[in-house]
Amino acid sequence: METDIIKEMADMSQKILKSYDTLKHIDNVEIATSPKTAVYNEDKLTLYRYNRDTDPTFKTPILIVYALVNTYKMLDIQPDRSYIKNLLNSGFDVYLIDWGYPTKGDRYLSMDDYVNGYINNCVDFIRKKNRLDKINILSICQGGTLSVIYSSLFPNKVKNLVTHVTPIDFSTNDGLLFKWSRDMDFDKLVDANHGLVPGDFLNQGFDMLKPMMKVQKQQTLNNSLDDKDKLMNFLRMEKWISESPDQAGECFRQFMKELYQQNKLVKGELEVGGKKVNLKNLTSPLLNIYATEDHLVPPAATIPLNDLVGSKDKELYSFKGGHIGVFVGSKSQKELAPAVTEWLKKRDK
Amino acid sequence: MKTSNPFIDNMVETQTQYLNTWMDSAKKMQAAITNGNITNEGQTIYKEWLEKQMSILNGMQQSSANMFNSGENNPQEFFKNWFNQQSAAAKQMADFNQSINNSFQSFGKPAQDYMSNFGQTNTAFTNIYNSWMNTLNSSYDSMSKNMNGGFNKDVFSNFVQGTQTYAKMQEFFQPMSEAMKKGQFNMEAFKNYFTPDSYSNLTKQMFGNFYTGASLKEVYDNGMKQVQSFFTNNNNLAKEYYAQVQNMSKEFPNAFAGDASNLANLKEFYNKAQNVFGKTFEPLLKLANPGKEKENVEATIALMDKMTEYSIKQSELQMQLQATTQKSVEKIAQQYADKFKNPADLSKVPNAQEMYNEWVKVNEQLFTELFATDEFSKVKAEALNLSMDVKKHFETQFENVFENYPVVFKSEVEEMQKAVYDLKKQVKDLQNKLALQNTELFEEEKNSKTKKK
Repeated sequence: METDIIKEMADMSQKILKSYDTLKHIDNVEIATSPKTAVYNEDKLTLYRYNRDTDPTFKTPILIVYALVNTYKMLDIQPDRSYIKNLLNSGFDVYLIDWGYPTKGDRYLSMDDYVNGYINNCVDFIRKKNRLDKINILSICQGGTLSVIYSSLFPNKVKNLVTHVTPIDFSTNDGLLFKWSRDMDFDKLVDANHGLVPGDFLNQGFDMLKPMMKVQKQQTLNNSLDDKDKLMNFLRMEKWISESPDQAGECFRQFMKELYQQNKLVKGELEVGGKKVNLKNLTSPLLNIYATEDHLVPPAATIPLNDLVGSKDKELYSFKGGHIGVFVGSKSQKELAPAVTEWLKKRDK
Repeated sequence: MKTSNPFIDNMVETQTQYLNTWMDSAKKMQAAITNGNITNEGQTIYKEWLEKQMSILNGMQQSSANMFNSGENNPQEFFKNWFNQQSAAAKQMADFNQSINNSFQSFGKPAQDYMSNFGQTNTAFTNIYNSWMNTLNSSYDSMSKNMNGGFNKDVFSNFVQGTQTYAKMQEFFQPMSEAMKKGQFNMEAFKNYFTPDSYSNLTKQMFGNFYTGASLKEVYDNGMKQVQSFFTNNNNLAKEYYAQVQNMSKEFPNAFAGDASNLANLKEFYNKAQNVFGKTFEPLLKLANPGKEKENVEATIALMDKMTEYSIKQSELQMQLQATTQKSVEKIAQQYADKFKNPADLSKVPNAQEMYNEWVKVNEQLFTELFATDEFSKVKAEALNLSMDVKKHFETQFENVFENYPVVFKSEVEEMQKAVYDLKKQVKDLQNKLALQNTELFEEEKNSKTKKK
């Protein structure tokens, strides 16, 4: 028996030494490396246009609107698992909003500033530059919710809307985040954090959705030490998680209270910048993508969108996978990106 | 397997040699215990082991002295520390062997004896793992200083933490696996052996975020000092009350941080402690002289009550987590006890690593179930809300105390930030209106030119 224990401790010691040695020799873990150029700046926001070697083959450019939580870098996590690269290779002109990292000075930014201000200004910039009335919006998670609100307020500026894993109906009991948020006091949370909700606080909540994930990560790293590709995949995801921005308090407050707690968007009661948001005004073609195993935004929160909008041309796409797998999984590269391209191609008139 | 770093290779090599001599000594030690010669031979074996270790260490030290990348670290110190930790491990090993021997001797004896020996084995395990953890932690400190960049350091730190959780679990599963293999496992003895503390420590390892409270004792002590000083200056008003509350506060550390034995006790304590500071001092505050100092003391009393409320809620949350940790460990134990109760199957009993993997799965399921309950959601939210209240009280108190000093307060900065935000918004609105007006003017001009043509 003591032999087992000694062997166990020897194994653990050697694994730790090995991980130390391996990590010590990794200089930099790079993510989001596809070349891009900043074309517009406003406060902390940067609008990027991805560089292309050839002219785009589609008439309508795409604006990617990511969530305010975490960063867009997951869409371009590594060259062979890059949703953005797939879109570029398909022939699109791709723009992306990088929200930047809010600081305490941004605490009063509201949903009005994000939707009627930032998103609208970026859309106008692209319309003007491309001499177009309407552009495509491709949106992710919370960025999808903001884009749905935007498309309902400015239907004349959106040609096609693609939403990915986007929460719309917050009345569901399927997801733990939806359940927990009903009992929380977001006024206290925002105020006590000086109007800036820490990204780490949100990550702790996400971790709890898969309680043993952190424990299992140690096993994953253990098993990856001898395989550089596997190790780098693991480290890139860790890097992405570690770069979580804080949240501007007022927008966070409104999002959590009026959407998560009061479900005002679905009820038709949400007001942004003094204007009521009516989902029936969203009339552009809609592709609504949900993930069957999504533990962050369960399908029940996403699927109802198609019945709520005024669009006649609308489609629901079911992806077999989880919230992150939609973008970084190998199936996504083979299946989802081509499907989205095909859907947009048919509507690029 | 060789790595790219000679220092690491050397350290791994030394670690292997170290373990080999340890194993050699362990066998000798066990033989001595079995023969009843531990008193005579133990010292000699230990001395022999120590000399071998010293010789290995000297070899490593000579060949590695120049291999530290950072000039800040002293290799001599590192090795000395490492060696001391490992020597402590050897002592634990000797104790451990003794307890194993005891547990073998008690085979077939009544459950009470068995339980006592299981306990000894487990304690020995805890000691030996703690000793290993000390070695690991001291090595980790030296290693992390040499690690470049914050991100890699964080990943390494998480890795070490994960290993610690794994090691912690071995305290439960190594003795269990061994007892099962020998057909000695007794579920009741297993259940009774582990204390709430064992589960509390394991839960902390997994959900450390719920255990990072401020030092309550310190807050109470400082608060009480302030209150005492205030009332002493006000004609010694609170002499009796102060003694009463001080007695009460002595009970707090036992009741907080998951130490309360059950929820009913905790609730009873909560009823006693709710607003205890406010209730106690309210009559006295009416007699005290009004002024800024009185306001500050009132705020401190309110803060102490809020801290009490928060601490009790946090304990309630921790108890839910700990109960689930216990349920999970016992579920695994019961599963295996049922599965391998037939002596013919004993050779198929899984090792501790396999038990650990199964435990991860069961934990995932049980904790997900717990997190989905209304009760957990409510307690978690209440604890969070109260912690935010406490934070706000602290800040208000801070501003009260420093009011007469030339510092800018958060509340003043917030006013300024709001003004800047409003101004920026107005400027953007005006810019947009101007741009729109310019476009309209341009369009008008273009149209009139077209008409003229």
